[in-house]
Formats: sequence, structure tokens, C-alpha cells
Amino acid sequence: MSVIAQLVIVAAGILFPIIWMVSSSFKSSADVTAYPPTFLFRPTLENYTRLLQTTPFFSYARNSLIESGSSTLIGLLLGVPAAYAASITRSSWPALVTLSARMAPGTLFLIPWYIVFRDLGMVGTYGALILTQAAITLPIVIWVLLPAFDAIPRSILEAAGVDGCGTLRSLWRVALPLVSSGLVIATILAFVFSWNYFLFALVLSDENTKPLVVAAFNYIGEGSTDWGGLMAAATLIALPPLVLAIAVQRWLVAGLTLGAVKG
Amino acid sequence: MHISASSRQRGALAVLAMPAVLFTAMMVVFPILYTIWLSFRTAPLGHATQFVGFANYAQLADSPQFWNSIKVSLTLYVISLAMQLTGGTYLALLLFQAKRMPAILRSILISPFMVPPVVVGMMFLIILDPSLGAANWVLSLFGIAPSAWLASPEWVIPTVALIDTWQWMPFVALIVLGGLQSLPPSVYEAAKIDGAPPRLVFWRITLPLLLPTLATAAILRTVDLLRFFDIIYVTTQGGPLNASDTLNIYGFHIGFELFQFGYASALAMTLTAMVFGVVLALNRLRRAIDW
Amino acid sequence: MASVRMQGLKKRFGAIEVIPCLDLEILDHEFVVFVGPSGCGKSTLLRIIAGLEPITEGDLYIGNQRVNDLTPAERDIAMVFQDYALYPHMTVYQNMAFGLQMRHTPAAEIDARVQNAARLLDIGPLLKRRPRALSGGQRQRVAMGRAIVRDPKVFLFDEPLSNLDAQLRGQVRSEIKALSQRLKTTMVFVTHDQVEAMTMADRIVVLRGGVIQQVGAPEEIYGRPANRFVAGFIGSPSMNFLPVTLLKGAAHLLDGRKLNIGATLEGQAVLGIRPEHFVPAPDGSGMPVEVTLVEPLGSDTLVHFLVGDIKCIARVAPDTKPLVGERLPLAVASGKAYLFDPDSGAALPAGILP
Ligand SMILES: Nc1ncnc2c1ncn2[C@@H]1O[C@H](COP(=O)(O)OP(=O)(O)O)[C@@H](O)[C@H]1O
Ligand SMILES: [Mg+2]
Repeated sequence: MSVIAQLVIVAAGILFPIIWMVSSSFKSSADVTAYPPTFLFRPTLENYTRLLQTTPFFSYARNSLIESGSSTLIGLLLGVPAAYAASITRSSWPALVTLSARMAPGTLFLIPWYIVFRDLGMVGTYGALILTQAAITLPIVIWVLLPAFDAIPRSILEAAGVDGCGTLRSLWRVALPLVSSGLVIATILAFVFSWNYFLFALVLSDENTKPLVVAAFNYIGEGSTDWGGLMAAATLIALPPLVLAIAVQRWLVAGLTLGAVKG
Repeated sequence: MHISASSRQRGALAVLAMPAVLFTAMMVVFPILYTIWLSFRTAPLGHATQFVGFANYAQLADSPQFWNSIKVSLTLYVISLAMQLTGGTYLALLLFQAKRMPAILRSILISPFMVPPVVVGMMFLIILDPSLGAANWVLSLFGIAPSAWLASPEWVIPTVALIDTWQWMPFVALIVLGGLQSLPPSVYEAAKIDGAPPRLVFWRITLPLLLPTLATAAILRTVDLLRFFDIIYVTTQGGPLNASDTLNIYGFHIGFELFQFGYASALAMTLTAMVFGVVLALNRLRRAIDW
Repeated sequence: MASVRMQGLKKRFGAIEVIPCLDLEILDHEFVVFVGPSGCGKSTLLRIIAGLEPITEGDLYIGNQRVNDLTPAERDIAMVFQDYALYPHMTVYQNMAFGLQMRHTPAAEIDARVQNAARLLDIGPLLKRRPRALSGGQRQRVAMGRAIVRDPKVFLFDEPLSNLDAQLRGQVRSEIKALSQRLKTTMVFVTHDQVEAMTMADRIVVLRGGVIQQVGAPEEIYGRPANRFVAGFIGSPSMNFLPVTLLKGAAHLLDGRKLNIGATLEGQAVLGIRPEHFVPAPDGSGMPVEVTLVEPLGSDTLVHFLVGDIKCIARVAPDTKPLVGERLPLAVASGKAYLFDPDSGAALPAGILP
């Protein structure tokens, strides 16, 4: 079989679940539960209108946005200068800590966090969720940017120093522009992974601060098997990460991989 | 007082790193130490903790459910990794032969691993649903009897592995493709002149040269696979009959459904040690084969 | 051991014509060097011989066999690549043995040949190492070893010395030359470095834009360049070229001065003089030039000067110590002036009296 034909088959296999999810979200309840499954159907928006009317979908979406956005911001604010300093001084602890944070199972952190936040009365607050999600975003930012900073020839930074740039100004005026694509990747990956992260919010959020992924999970749990509504929710939740990732597709995999090659 | 430029620079760099250091100390290092400490204590809800020595670890060693989780985790790990590395290599070779990568194809390839795992679980719940799922219908076209794939103790692990492979095989493929593209073309020409037939070139040249890349991909996947949680929590919650009760699912159950924090901490430590052990071994392997 | 013959050979990459039409015969046991500026198609030609590039049109023979449709493996050639192309995951021994294994040579014979080549190249102690643990020069030897063990009909080299430092390059150059005399195999060697071409070749093929400019022994290429391009390319520093009008045996420069060269032709021409063929003229004769720059090289001294607005260089004995601004009277060594057609660049035959 020709290479192209094989590729088409594989791509179709990869695409199928996503297409199935999206198409199911536009099926009437009769169509979505039909067996054999319907491939041709009259699309309807009823699942979306029902989802938005009967659930506080927008407030969950706002929660997701607040938590992922803030934790991404914190990750950048802390991670960019740290990655730069680590790259300049060739110190290895940030890479090590980053790796540990990536390798350790979430439960390892979650138990102490839960106990401490409970004692502080912070369970269910945005603060707790943002802080814990920042423990996801910070390693991603360092993971992506450390190799990017390392790739800048030292002589360029030395030239900046000779030209009278202090450490901060070298970072801001010389190093950051040189890693700008890495910065975009880091931001998007941090946001997407925070958006997608499930475990911490599962334990630490409450009805008012619940992000979309947890809300969607609870929606399954209700046993309603409102498949159409469920797929509508799934589609909406998956949309932002997909759009962001496709926007930076060319650099995405390198961003996810480079940090590992260093380790 | 005179301060040298380099020590001033080092001071500035320390200041730059400080916020991240403090955050890491607070959110990563402290919890790890706390978990280690807790793993030697009982922490019943509403009571002060008590030192119990290695009792939690002893309890783990005696617990059939713990050993079941180890078995489940490792089985899932080995099956998934094998599928993802072979599938990923196959797909990468296809992509490499195709030479061009249209944006639409790359978009398709990166989509699965950008979808939230919770959503992945949801999409496969409907596809694999025993009464209305598309999977059974498609399989019936090939004469395969319908089954409740996620509700069957013998099929649940391969099924979950397949779901994870759907999500991450394209990622592995893109990594391997990067490896293929960085291999020097002249080495292949030398192999042609040496008279190696294409099949042998793959086994004797391409694959060995790809091993470091494959090891990197394996490390990245190991980290996620050994602490498998989201998709299982969404689809089976560890069932049926604990058949998909991975260490992380089991630990979550102990910690946040039974609130046995001491015992759960011992479990988390064990899992962490396992992940580090496997990753270190793989990393050593990668160094050894980094030609 | 075989001749290599190209007949009406053409090569296009898509619409780009790299080799318009080429005929060449390389004799058995001959050491032929393809030389020319970068991009002139030397590598392409070599890779066509190797079978790594398909032929667009024409025929290629190795020995008496037409090999157009044979794979590289079937052509029984060996090639040393510019970047050596060693298999990074194999030891030196395995690298050299691989090609023989692919030809199902018995293990004992493989071992004998590898050991023999290792002795020849002085890399015995390296056999168990991987390429990464070797220096550039050692890698280069392994790449040659891999070719030698195969005992092929033809050796192909694609700029194998260009990744070595200058000193090592000189050393390996003479080693390859010695090797070629020992192995008595046909060798085709590609380089853009005219010194390599001059020192190693039995015959040099000068290429430009995929077209052969001249084929000949080094002395011939240097002493009787076929055209202005070959004359300028071979020799360092390059030959000086001056537009002249020939009249009564003398070359009249554009600025009105004249040089006595004993030419038999008359009319417009380009006069070519190698820097080493300028000689200090006895008082009153020759052409006085104003020195603009002096570069002492130790063994001799390069003197720069202008003729009109054309920059020229003369190579003079080191004890001639001219100063910048000084006027130095120069003449042309007898019989060493070259004349070229001002339009085609072709060497003008019988232009100079002996
Ligand atoms: N695969 C190719 N596709 C298109 N053009 C090529 C290819 N290989 C070489 N060329 C072109 O052919 C010409 C000759 O190349 P090459 O034989 O490598 O030159 P040389 O080795 O003499 O420097 C160059 O202009 C080069 O750009
Ligand atoms: Mg070349």
C-alpha cells in the first residue's frame, strides 16, 4: 500500500474519535442513541442550548479561564527569570526540580496541599487552585525555556554586557527577544496543560470554583447519560486547547521534547 | 566598598531566581518532605498524627490490593509503551517517506495529545458504549462479537492502553520523525554503497541510530504512564473488580475517599520511587546508546 | 580495477542542468582528480559514478560493463565521503566489516582484510572504538579503511580532506598518493583545492559549470592551460590577466607601456602572466611598476602593484626587498607569457616564440 494511503488511514483513525465527539454533539437525542450509529443526521444545536441553559457552563468556563490564566501568568513571572538565571549560571537545580515535578505523581503533592489548605480554610478557593496549577505551569515554562536560553550563544550576552546592559536589561532587551518563539510555546503549553489538568481541581475545587474538566466529569457522574449534552460539553472544553495548539503546531513538539533531551 | 561586576551579576541572577526558588520550596519541596513524614504516621481525620514507623509500608506489602495495583500499573505501562513506540515508529517512517508534512496533517497529529484527558475519556465512553457505541458496530462489520470493552476485566487494560495510544502515539511519531530527520543522509548512502538491502538498512542502521530518540520518547511516556490517572478515573474508576486499579487510582481512593493520609503517603512514595527508578534506568540506557 | 567511461553524460535536477554533456575516459589504475570551483558539478559527477544519482541521459561504463541501471552495491565501487559517513553505532571494526558482511564474505576473510587495512592505515589500536571516540584524522582513516577492505574496482573520494586541519591535510594527501601507488586501483578524487589536484593526480579534469575545461597531467594543466579559466584556476596566487594589443612581438598595455614577450600574433589579446614568472628586469628594460603592497612569505615575497586599474601580483625572491611606493622594473621570464582570445578566453596557439 502506498505511503499516502497508509497515512490517510492512520490520520482517519486519529481523527475519528474527535469527529465522533463533535458530530454526536450535534445529534438529536434519538440520533445519538441510535444503534447502528447514524452517520448522516440532521444537525441540531439543542444539546448546546440545553447545556448552556441547564448548567452554569459559563461560570465553569470563567473558573477555568481564571485558574489557567493566572497560573500561567505566575508560571511565566517566576519561570522566565529563573530559567534565565539557571542558563547563565549553568546551575542544574531548576532542571532537576522541573524534572521531579514532572515525574512525581500528583498525589505526592496533593495530600500535603489538601491538609494545609484545609487547615488554612482555603479548600475551594481560587487561591488554592491557582497556586497548585502554578506547580504545573512553572515546570513547563522552565522546561521549554531553559534549552531556549541555553541555545543563545554566550558571546551575544557578553556583547550586551560590554554594551552596558545589566543582567535584567540583558534578559529583557536581548535574551527574551531571542527566545520569543519559545516564550509563546511556553505560554501556550502552560495554559493548555493547566486547562487540561484534572486531579488537583478534582480535590481542591468546590461548586463555585470548579473548572470545566471537573464539571464535565461530574456531569458524567450524574448518570444522566445525556450523551448529546456530554459531547457538547466535551467539544467546548476541548476547543481552546486545540485552537491554541494548532496555532503553534510547528514548534509544539520541539517544545515538549527539548527539555527531556537535556535531562 | 567595591563590588566586582561578576559578583554583582551573580547577585542579580540570584534575585531573578529567588521567586521561583521560594515557590518551589513551598509548593514542591515542602510537600514532598511532608509526604515522607506523613508516610511514617497515621493521620486519622480530625485527630493529631501519630508516629507508626514503617507500619504503613508494611501494610502496603501485605495488601493484595496494592500488589494488584502494581501489576495493573506495570501491565498498562508495558502494553501502552510497546504500542506507542512501535506504532509511533511506524507512523514516523510513513511521515518521513512522505517527505512533506502539510499543516492539516500536523494539526491532526497534535490534536489528540492536546485534548484534555477527561474529554478523551468522555469521547471513548460513547464510542465504546456497549449498547450504542460505534466501536462495536465497526467491529461487527469484521465479524467480531460486541463486548463491553471497559467493563470486562480481561479487556479493560488493553482497551485503556489503546485509548492512551490513540492520544500519545502521534506524539511519539513526531519525536521519532525529528530523530529520523536528523540522521545524516550520507550514512545511508554509505550503506547503499556497502550493499545493504533496505530491510537490513532499517534493522542495522536506522533503528540503532534511532534508539536514543526512542529512549527519550520512552522516558517522556513512562512518566505519564506509570502514574496513569485521568482517563481511568473518568471511564472505569479502577473497575471492573479493580482490574484497572492503577497505583495512582488506588492511592487517590485511599487518600481522598478514605482519607487515610499516612497510608496514602506511603503509597505515593512507593509510586514516586518506581517512576524515578524506571526513568533513571531508561536514562542510563539512553546515555549508553547515545552514539 | 577497471576503467570508467562516460559517454554523452547529461544530468538535470528538475529544470536545472548541472552537466550539459560530458565525455570522459578514466583509465585503469589511474588517479584522476576532478577539480573546479564550488558548485561546478564535481560531486554530482562522482555520485553518478557511484550510482547515488541517476543519469539523465548518456552512458556510464565501469570496465566493459554499462552500469547505468546498476545499484551502487552492484557497481563494486567504494566511496570516501566528505563527512566520512561512518556508522556511529558501530565500532571501527564493524564499520569496516559491514560492507563485506553485506556481500556475505566469510568471517575469517573479513577479519583478515580488516586487520590488513588497519595495519596499512595504522589504526589497529582503534578497532574497538566507536567513531565518536575518534579524532577527525582518525575518522578519515577509518573511512578510507572501509573503502580499502572492499578491494573495489574504483575508489571514489569526495573532498575527503576538507574537514582536516591544514597540517593533517598535507600529511594525509601524501598518504593517499602513496596508497594509490600501492593499491593500483582506479581512483577518482574530487576537490576544489588545486594544490590537492596538482600533487596527487595522474590526470586532472578541470570542470566549470558541468563542462570539462581541460584534461591532462598536472604539468600540462599548469604549463599549457587550455583557456583563461584553467589558467586562472590552477596556480596560486592566480595568473595575472592584462588586456593588450600585440604589435611587432611586443604587448602594448592599455596605459601605453609595453612588454617584450616575443609574440608572433598581432591584434587584441589578453596577456596572462603567472606571478612566479615575473623577473626583475635589468636597468632600463622591462616595465617599471609602483609597489602597493609587500607580503613576505619567507620562501619568497609577493609584490602587489597596479597596471592601469588591474591588480597584479609578482612573486619575487625574498632578497628583493621592495618598499611600498618604490618603482620596481619587471620583465616576463622568457617563454612564460600566455595569450588568450579576449572574447572566448581560449589559449591562442603558437602565441609565443620559444
Ligand atoms: N539534489 C539536488 N537538487 C538540485 N540541485 C542540485 C542537487 N545537488 C546538486 N545540485 C546543484 O548542482 C550543482 C552542482 O553541485 P555539486 O555537484 O554538489 O557541486 P560541487 O561538488 O562541484 O561543489 C550546484 O549548482 C548544486 O546547487
Ligand atoms: Mg561537492
